[in-house]
Amino acid sequence: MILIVSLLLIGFLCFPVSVSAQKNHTDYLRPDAIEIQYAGNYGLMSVGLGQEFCKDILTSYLVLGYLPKAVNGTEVKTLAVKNTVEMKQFDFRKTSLKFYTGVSLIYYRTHNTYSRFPKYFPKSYYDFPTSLHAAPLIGTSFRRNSDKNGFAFFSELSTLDYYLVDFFRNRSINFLDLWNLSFGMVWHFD
Amino acid sequence: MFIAFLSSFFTSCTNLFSYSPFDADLKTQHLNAKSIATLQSASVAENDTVWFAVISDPHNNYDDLKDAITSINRMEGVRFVVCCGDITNWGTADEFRWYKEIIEKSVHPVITMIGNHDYLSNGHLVFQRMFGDTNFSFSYGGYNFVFFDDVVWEDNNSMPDFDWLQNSLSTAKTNVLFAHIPAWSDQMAGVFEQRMDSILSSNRVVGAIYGHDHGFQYVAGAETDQYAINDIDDRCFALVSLCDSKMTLKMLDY
Repeated sequence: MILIVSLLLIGFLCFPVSVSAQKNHTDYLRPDAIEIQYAGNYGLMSVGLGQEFCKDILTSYLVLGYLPKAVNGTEVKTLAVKNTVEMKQFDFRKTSLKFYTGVSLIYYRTHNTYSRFPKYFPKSYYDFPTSLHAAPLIGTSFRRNSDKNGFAFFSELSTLDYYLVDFFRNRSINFLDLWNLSFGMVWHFD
Repeated sequence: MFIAFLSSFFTSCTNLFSYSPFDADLKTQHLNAKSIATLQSASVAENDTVWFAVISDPHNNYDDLKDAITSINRMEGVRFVVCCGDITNWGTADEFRWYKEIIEKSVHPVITMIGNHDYLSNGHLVFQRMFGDTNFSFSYGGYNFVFFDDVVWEDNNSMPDFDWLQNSLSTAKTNVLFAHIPAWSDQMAGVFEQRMDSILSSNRVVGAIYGHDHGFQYVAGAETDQYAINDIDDRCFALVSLCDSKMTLKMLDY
């Protein structure tokens, strides 16, 4: 657990370090955006704290998500690092529409899901931890250009490493079945 | 391009919003109970030979599973199909859904039992919602078919419900047993294996069929012949016949 959380934090910290040439060191680690998201791979709702870099081309968020047991019969907690890169931006008068892609590294905490399997399992019985996953995503966001410190709205399609492996192993899996939709809002406070 | 992808997604995607790959977003479906009811609605005489097919460990080999079901569909005389567990790799609800979409194409009733991989994350709950109890039995053609959940490690290292097994086997004259993990294999070896052997020898069980080990194994017994069958990846399934309280099993390629 400690190892997984450490890995996620390192991922969150290293991504901005590698691209934050324009920012001085006092800005480093100071978040400039908060996002709230519905659905996706993070739970019923999630909140994230993050930064934008390289003229807002790159973003990195530390995300906490939660799915209560009352919704689908089981409780799932998530801690994730979500990194995105802009693919294309279209400006229309006072608004901009941005398309982006990225990947989230997600730690799941739920029943019978392990980062290290209990000792009664023989060594290498399972090759991978079941609690840590990569989740590729593509998304679009809508923002008023004048609102440097305002709100942006986004929607995303995301999938999971498991499902991509299954898709590449099997012709019978529909590619569109791998993806799920989510949407949310970001508050920028530069 | 993104817009085109999005519109195709909206029209074809089965789960538009998903909260987590590990949730149990399924309504109760009782698929095993429905299959058993379909099977029992077809009449069978006491002395008729009962033919059925057994597959095991499809995991995420959906193409192979689809081919197996297609091949079994062509066989006349087969009454039902049993899947001996491990229908998923990681116990996620989507893996269960993809398995279900394929077995729905079977012309024979398919009865599915749980495997150790299906227990991972919230798979046990998803299995119960989709298929029903993990220990169950039914009667058909004068035989009692018993499905025993013998997963140990993925079930929090707990002991399988041997009392349930003993009660289920002792109530019938002639039994056929299915379990995912062979009595002699990793999770069952030792004390549990002895308990299993004791129960098998004290009841009339004409055959026991397992999965899990991904290769064919046969253990002849004084009372009970035990088989572990190949996984779906080996592109073969077991064809089993029951006649005069005797079970024969043959692996067929497809």
